[in-house]
Amino acid sequence: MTATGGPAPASRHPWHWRAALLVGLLALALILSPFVGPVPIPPRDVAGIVLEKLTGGTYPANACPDPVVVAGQMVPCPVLFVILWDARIPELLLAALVGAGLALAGGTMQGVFRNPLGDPYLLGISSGAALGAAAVFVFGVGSRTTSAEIALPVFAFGGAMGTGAIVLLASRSPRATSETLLLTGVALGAFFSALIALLTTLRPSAAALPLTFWILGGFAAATWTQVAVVFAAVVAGGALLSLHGRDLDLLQLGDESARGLGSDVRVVRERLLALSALVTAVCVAFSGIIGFVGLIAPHVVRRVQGPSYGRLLPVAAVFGALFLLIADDVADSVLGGGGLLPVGVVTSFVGGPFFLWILYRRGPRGST
Amino acid sequence: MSAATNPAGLPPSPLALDEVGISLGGAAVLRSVSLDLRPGELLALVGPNGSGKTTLLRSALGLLPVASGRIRLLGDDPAQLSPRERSRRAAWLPQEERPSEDFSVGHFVAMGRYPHLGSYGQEGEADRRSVDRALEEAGLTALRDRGVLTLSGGERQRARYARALAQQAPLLFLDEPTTHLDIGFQIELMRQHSAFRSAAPGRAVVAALHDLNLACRFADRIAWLSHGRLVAIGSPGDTATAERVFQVFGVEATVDHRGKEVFVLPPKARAPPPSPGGGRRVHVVCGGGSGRTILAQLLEAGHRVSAGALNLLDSDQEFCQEANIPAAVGAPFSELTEQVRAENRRLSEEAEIVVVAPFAIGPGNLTNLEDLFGLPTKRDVLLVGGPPAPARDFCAGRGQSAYDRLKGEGARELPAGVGVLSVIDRRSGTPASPSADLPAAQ
Repeated sequence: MTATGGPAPASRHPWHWRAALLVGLLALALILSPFVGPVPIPPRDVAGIVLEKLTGGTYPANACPDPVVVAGQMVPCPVLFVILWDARIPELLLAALVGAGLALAGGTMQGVFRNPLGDPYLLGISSGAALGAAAVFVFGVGSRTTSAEIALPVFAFGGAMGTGAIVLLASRSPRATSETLLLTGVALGAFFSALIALLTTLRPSAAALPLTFWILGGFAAATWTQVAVVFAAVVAGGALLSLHGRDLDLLQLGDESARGLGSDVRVVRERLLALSALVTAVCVAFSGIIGFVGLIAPHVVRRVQGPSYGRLLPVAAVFGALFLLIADDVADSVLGGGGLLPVGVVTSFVGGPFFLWILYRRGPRGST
Repeated sequence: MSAATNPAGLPPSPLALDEVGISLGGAAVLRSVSLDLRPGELLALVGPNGSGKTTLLRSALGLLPVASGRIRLLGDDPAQLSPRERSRRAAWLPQEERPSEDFSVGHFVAMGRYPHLGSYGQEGEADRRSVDRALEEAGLTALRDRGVLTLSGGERQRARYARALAQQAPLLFLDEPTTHLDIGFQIELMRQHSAFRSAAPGRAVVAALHDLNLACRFADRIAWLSHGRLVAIGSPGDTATAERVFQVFGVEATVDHRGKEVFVLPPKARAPPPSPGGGRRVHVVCGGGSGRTILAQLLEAGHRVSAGALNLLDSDQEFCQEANIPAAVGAPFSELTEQVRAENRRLSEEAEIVVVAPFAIGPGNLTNLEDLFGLPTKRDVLLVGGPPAPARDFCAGRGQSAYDRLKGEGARELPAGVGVLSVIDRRSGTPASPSADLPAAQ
């Protein structure tokens, strides 16, 4: 029971500390995540390999002092190196980056549409990406060459961005309101889902299973190149989106009041939608459609530190990174590991109850 | 190019409208409105819903395209200004605002600094000071950490006012700021708004108000709007009259001038609600209870009615008194005097449509028909209830011949069973084009 009787959404000081705490937790998770996986790599080896790589030493001169035994078989040091440096570390970095990107895009969508149900896929971007992926699986683009690795993200990105572009073009129509844009996204999504189903029936054996797994999402195929691309998109997009925090705040008052305060509502909305569509498309291209992170991360942060978007977005990005990193660790360690469990299953399985707990913990608040 | 057409020496008008016309979706919502806001004044915009108050404010902010005429906001066309520059000149508080996030009051007020910051600018010391001052001036310092959605309606309106103060614009535009507030908050808020204009030189306030008494009490001048036209502008003492209230709102109100103060009282009996499209002006010639139903139906449909010529204590006259219908009334149980007949003729001339109820025609009221001679060539005259049965004519056929003459002049006879409303209603909203779509009734 507080004396003021009402919840104070954003007291002025503690938010720095909460944000610092989240960043600390993320750093801790990043440090601990390399140990998660079917092959137990001793801390000294992890440290040795990472140091070796970071200091530019030649591989693997004096790493791996401890032999690792899995199922009665010794795993040689070069194998450990590949597991750690070429698989686990890109995977966890990609998970964290995608989590951050989806949280940023989700928070932006919630703000632009003033709708608590906003998530990165609101404009049908996920269906566009899935359509691209389905095309790759069905028509076997690049399947006989090594270019399949490239074709899948390229097509998924193309589908996602194409959808985003259609909705953005629609938003320029004089008849476009927030509601019509939302419904445009819904209609496009339904249309693409039908196309995907149609495509899949052409070659069910080749397309159905991989598409299902791709849609559920995961980071098992992460590479350093992917990490670099997503890093650039998420950091640049995230910085730009966060700088628009005040514009997003103004939109929450309604268009007319925002105009009265000097906001160029149409331009702002278009710019924010384009940015978040771009960030989402890049994330989806490399990770599939991971649900729930983009929806819950902004809500959790909003509940803890108030709705001011300039702070909400960067902190939600940190929370999204942490959440998806942990979800990926969980996916890697249950069912015997090996990345059999898609991370999208974990996010919804863990995220659903967690989100409900957050929602009801403090009782109803005005923002939802 | 001079900012306004004022003679040299006078400060330029902060807001000048010159023959401004605005159309929305093809319909003219503002027609040739000219006005000059004076520095330091509180100008109230008054008129029924749909009269163009909000449109006027929005166009002055450059938020609506102007079809004709020109607008100058502190010397410039507002549509040519950047959104931020516009907001540095005028703060705008639209009527409806429901924040979708529970911002703290302090953050909410700080949004008023937006037009002063660059695209990605951070708030500086000056911004923070101006927010502090705005909170203090609006009496909200203690509530600074509260969420805006937890505030009462009056407190939230005050928070919006504080946000406008933080905006530091010389002009303040308000759209019905006191809606949904109880009377204490209404008065307190209007006090703050009127204090705004005198707090610094060159400031002014334009407020669309629905409460005539608040307008008369706080405004320096009132602009009366009706159907997109400015019908009058001036001080409450000069322009607030019963005739004006009737002209603009279609309501018979009592306007009481006591010294400099003006009070507008609603009519004693319940007045007919003005119909959305603006009712027609209908005069009903009746008597002996023949007009009651017709009058009631017209009132219900939102038309503005009058009646005549009646004797005091006549049942139609009593009805008119109860319903506050203006009527030409003479002494009881006697022939209508020339004075009453003149009043009745005046009301008939004033109306767009004259309805003749099927009253019993006696020597005392035969003049009611005779006074209409000549009118059907100028007005719609509707004869209700078919030709007078001999049973209604107590003047040895003179009633019948009066009816025939009126018909000869173009009065239309409604067939028995056709209600007056079905004819007038269908024509409402269109200018009176005589008997164009009346049912042909021969």
